[in-house]
Amino acid sequence: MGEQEDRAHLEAAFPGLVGTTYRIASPCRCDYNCVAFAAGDTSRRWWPHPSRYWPSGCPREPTVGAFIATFQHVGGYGPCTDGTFLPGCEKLAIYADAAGVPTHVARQKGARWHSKLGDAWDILHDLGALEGEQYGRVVGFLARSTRPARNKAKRRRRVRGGPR
Amino acid sequence: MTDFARYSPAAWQQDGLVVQPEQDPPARPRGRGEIVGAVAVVAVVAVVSFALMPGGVAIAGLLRGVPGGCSASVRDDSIPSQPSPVSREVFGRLVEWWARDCLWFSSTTKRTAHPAFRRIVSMGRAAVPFLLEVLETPGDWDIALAEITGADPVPPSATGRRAETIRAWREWARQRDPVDG
Repeated sequence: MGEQEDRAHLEAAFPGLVGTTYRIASPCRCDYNCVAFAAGDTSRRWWPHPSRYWPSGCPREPTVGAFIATFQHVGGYGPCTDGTFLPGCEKLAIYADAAGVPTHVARQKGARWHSKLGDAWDILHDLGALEGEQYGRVVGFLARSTRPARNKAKRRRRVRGGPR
Repeated sequence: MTDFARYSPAAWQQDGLVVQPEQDPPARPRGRGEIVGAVAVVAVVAVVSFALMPGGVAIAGLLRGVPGGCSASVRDDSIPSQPSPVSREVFGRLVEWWARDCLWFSSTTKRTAHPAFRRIVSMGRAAVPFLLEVLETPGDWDIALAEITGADPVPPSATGRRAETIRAWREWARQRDPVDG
């Protein structure tokens, strides 16, 4: 199948992609899903279901609160207010349906967003382009620093009263 | 046999596997004789079961494994050796319906709550040979197998890992049917 057909199929499912500069970034794979991908794990499917992987010690329920707690626990993320790109900061966006049940997680990559779409492709896209019938809308953001060592050094300097 | 292993949605469409959106898979029109025959079979089964076995619960036992019959919520390790062609056709349509609607979902909650998935589980033991056939194709077929059989052959360390999950279910099937499993 050609890329044109893939794109037509994608755009039929996610009309928000039409007219944007999204890019298909992988072949179709079904051995990992969006949550695993957002957590940097492409070896298994993550979901709070008894037959799928979910980190131990994290709430095993399909709620936005449980997803936030899980990414805080395994990735050191904390809630943040929006998806604006900030250098040195890595963000996640959680999508949920009208009932507030999580449907998708996207990971920020530069100024764009990187998503694994169910059993299909990974794509690079604009955040709002996946909102709609399939995934609902973005309901929350998480962020973490990508410069932990430097921050630690800064904290140490502050404690010692050294120059900032 | 339908090649469910093809991932590409457009390829499914080319093959005519993607059916039009609807709430239920398309029903095959039934002839009058077929309906009369089905009623007669059900009547005979009811009479024989009440005659041979104590209590009406025998009916539930007979219906388990019949498409549209009782859901198998109890553990049942055997695998029917000769699945019926009618079940295969129904199963194929349900898999197509599920794949069309759930391709984009990562949510196991949504994927296993889909009506086509629930219908497959409600087929009971009759669906097990077909589920083993499509195990390598995209889908949560291991969860359907677990729900139907009550078995849990996947070791905790392999939870969520597709290849190891498939291997565990293949081994489970082989132990029950060394020739075909």
